[in-house]
Amino acid sequence: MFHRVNSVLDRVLDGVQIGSLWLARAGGVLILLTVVLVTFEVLSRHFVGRSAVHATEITGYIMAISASWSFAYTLMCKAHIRIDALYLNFPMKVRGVLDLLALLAMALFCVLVVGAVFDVTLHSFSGGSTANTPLGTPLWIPQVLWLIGLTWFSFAVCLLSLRVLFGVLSGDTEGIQKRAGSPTLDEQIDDGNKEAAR
Amino acid sequence: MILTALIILLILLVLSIPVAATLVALALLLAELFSPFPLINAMGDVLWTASDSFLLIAIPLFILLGEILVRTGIAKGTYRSLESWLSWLPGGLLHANIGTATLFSATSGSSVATAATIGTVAIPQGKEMNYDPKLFTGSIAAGGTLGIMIPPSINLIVYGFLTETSIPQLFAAGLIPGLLLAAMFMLGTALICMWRPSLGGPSVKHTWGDRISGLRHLVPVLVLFGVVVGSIYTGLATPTEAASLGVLGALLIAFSMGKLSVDVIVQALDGTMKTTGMIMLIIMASYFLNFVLASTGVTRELTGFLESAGMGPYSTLMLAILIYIVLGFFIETLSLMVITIPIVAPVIIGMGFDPVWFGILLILLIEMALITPPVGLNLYVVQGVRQGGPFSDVMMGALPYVGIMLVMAIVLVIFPSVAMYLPNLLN
Repeated sequence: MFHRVNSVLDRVLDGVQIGSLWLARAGGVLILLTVVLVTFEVLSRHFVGRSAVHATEITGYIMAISASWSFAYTLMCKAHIRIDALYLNFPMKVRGVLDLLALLAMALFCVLVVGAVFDVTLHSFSGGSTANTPLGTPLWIPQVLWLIGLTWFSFAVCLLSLRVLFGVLSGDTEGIQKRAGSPTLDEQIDDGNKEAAR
Repeated sequence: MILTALIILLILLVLSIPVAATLVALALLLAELFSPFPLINAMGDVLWTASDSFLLIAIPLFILLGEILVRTGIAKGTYRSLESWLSWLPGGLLHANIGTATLFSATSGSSVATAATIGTVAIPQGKEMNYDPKLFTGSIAAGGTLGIMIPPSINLIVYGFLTETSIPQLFAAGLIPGLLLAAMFMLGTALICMWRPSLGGPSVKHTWGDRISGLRHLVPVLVLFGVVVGSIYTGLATPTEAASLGVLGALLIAFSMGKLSVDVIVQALDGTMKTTGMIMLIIMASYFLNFVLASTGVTRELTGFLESAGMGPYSTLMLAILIYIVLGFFIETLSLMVITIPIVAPVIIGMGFDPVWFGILLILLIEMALITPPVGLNLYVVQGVRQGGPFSDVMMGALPYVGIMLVMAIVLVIFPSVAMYLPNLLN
């Protein structure tokens, strides 16, 4: 039974992985947009003497949004930082349980954060809060985009927790390590080499 | 009470609970214990303030800049060129390792990328010329750490953000200590190789023709450094603006060298977003912890406790240094920063030390953590690039450089002006 559940969850997670990658890429495009905006801003300040695109305000929103859009991708790359000095010395079975604990802690964190962020966004919307700037942006607009990233991240965390839970129950240590185990040194080194070899 | 909280923090960390979740858990626990108001209600607003930041976007921009340089192979040309200038010194190629790290770190904010890149170019050459592997690999690992001291440095931005210290000031303060440390690395290497030539390898002499024609490989890196750091120092641009101009410059250089493709850009963006997600999640969490510590006055209590225990400013500083050295053995650098800065920095600054100066000292201690086993990321990166040979080689080879860093820390404490000269000049 566990085996079936695992393979279904694996298929869903593959989809989430692809979704997370593209969401992160969208965030990356926003970062490139920042380069364009800020360059315009610097040029216009020097040649026209005033700010043309309000880059300071917009790029601030971009920071919040693109960061939240990258969280799920970072999760799928197993790159959210955990202190693994001791972890790496445990047998695989124990590591699987620790992975589950780590994900559950992350899920709890997500519930708190998404709840808090949802309240802030709702408050901005119903109160009609606007930024105290020349643009006067209604704050709920960037905050909704920010919330979307965090919600997607929470969804990914919960799904992954479920997969690891069933992995622990069915003794599928290999599957857990692949999905959620703190990256072993070999994996990290491989990553470093791939980058350097390019 | 504080002690209980700290013990809980340590237990969670040792259990490898994600750092971000641990920091928020600690913050909520402290809020519950010490605050009459439910601080959790402010969480959403605090997180928004931390995220909606024109300053922090400099971090993904600098990561992207480094990614572009690594993925287009610009760094490899730099090594060959510097090798022709530096490898006549006793220790030969070792100086090229350190020199490239210095120059490359001046444009990219990442230590690991620096060590990996230099490792792939240098190690095959070192093997071919029969260099002793210990010092050779050690010099790459140690040289790679310079990336977080010499501006632009992502770690300095994180410190500045969490302690509300001016980034241009920090960038100015990091330059002289960073270059001095590089010079001390090279001097130390030369002395070791004069004392025990077998630890190094053959020096190589290149013709002046080689050297001059190699200079063109240095142009891209030097131009980028000039654009990024020059525009900050002269006040023409904020760090974020300088980072944007730097990314634009790197794209233009890569394009003019015919090395820019959609594939390269996508790869660079993927790498950037992965690292951004990793850094931003823990920064958000750390910022919330910062907020809780400030609102509950735990920092004041801690300072009071230290003072009543008869700890003056300098003994507290020594204690902090000791804590960083010990934690640096086990905790990876960025986590070490976000976990400790909200607690340690206000205490040290409250005792009258300059925040800019302490930032530089802290970065030096963090650099040391990068090359002290068992958790010294740069050591593993170099070992991985090397493929084969005992890991203890790299560890032993990095030891002399750890010693040099300790000397540098003492210099910084006794002569704060090493760091403070440039920032004071800018004021």
